[in-house]
Amino acid sequence: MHAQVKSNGRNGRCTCQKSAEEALRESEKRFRQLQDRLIQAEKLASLGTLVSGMAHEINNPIQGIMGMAELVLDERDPVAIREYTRDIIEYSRHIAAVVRDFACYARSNSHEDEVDVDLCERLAEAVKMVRRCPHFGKVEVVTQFQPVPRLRARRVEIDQVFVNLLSNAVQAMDGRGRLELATFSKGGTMTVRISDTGCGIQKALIHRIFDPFFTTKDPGKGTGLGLSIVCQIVNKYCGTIGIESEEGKGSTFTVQFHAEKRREEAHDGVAGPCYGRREAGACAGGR
Amino acid sequence: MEWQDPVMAGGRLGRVLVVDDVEIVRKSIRTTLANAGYEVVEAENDEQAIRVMREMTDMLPVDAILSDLRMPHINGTELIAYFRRQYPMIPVVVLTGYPDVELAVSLMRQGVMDFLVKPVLQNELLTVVKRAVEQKGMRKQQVIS
Repeated sequence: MHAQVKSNGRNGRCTCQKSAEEALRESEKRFRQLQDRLIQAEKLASLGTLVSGMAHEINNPIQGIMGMAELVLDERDPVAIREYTRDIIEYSRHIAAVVRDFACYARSNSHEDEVDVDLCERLAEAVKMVRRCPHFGKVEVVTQFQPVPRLRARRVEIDQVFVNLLSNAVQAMDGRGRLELATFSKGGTMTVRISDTGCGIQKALIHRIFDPFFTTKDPGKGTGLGLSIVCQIVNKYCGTIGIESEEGKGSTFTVQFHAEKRREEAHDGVAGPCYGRREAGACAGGR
Repeated sequence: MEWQDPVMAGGRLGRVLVVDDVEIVRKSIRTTLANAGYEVVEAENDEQAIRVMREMTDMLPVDAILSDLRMPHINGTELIAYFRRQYPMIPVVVLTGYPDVELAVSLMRQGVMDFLVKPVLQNELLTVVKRAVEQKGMRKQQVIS
């Protein structure tokens, strides 16, 4: 490279700078593609848990639909037939809605453009998904949503952040406890807080929870990528994520996005990753 | 004279408790069983199921229990354990949306009579319920004799 600069003088330096910029752009592009693929792979892995919830959400109405259809076959009273048919239609619609929700969640993030995302709405949708988990049990959900500004982001990635954090919280409570969800905004910072009364995290492990492939779950029950991906997505949108936890009492995850920083980023057309601030017991972030 | 179950005298073929949180499931099972000649009592959660059973004065308030496992706010496994503990003579059939073989084996070991995975056809359901009601009759007869 130096040789080229020397031989071509000023023009050579320009060419060299240009090619370095191109290489950097290419490398950024490849990084983003890899990041997208990783995010998608983790999402599909986490779908495994949600799918067993889907079995319940679909097999139940199918049981009703099949039962009603068999009753229609034997029924002569037109009023009863109409009633059973209405039930069949209603519950078929329910199945269609469940499949649509799951399909939306599973679809590839790389094909979606950034839109103005309503964080409260996405958090409420994530709760709907996680309620279908088989281990949701008797968990009580308490919400305190204050309006927050919209965040320019890919909706599916924000969904992935919330579904991951909520799934972890629900699993930590093992079917019993209180899940508190709050959103608020102050001075351009949008905050989403997810608290559970679950088993909490050991002090010695808390600094590792955002590390890739780190998991406290039994073998085969978790990829160890969930929180690492959450962290990557949050960082990508100039956000930060922090955790407070006490073993045996529960954990609180706090996700913050900074509206102004994000707007500047979007306006500048910087498409690369934005490294979020690290916090105590927080996301290790970055690449 | 052949032994006659007092509960069976109420419903033509017997009385069945159906526990499921989904209304259409209860409705289709209720109609199917009623058409076949059973009396059906329903509960949509664990508390209701326990209350319904306690409110009936008979020692063996129903002839069979057909229960879902995973319902919102319910640990169905605990409910099944309660039924087995309080009413060991009443056959319990699990009807669930989760095809979980390990769980099925574990529940059968705890005395659950059958483990059905939704969706089931009317005939299959009626065959299992009939077998459960007959089993309860036989168990009771064994205790009496």
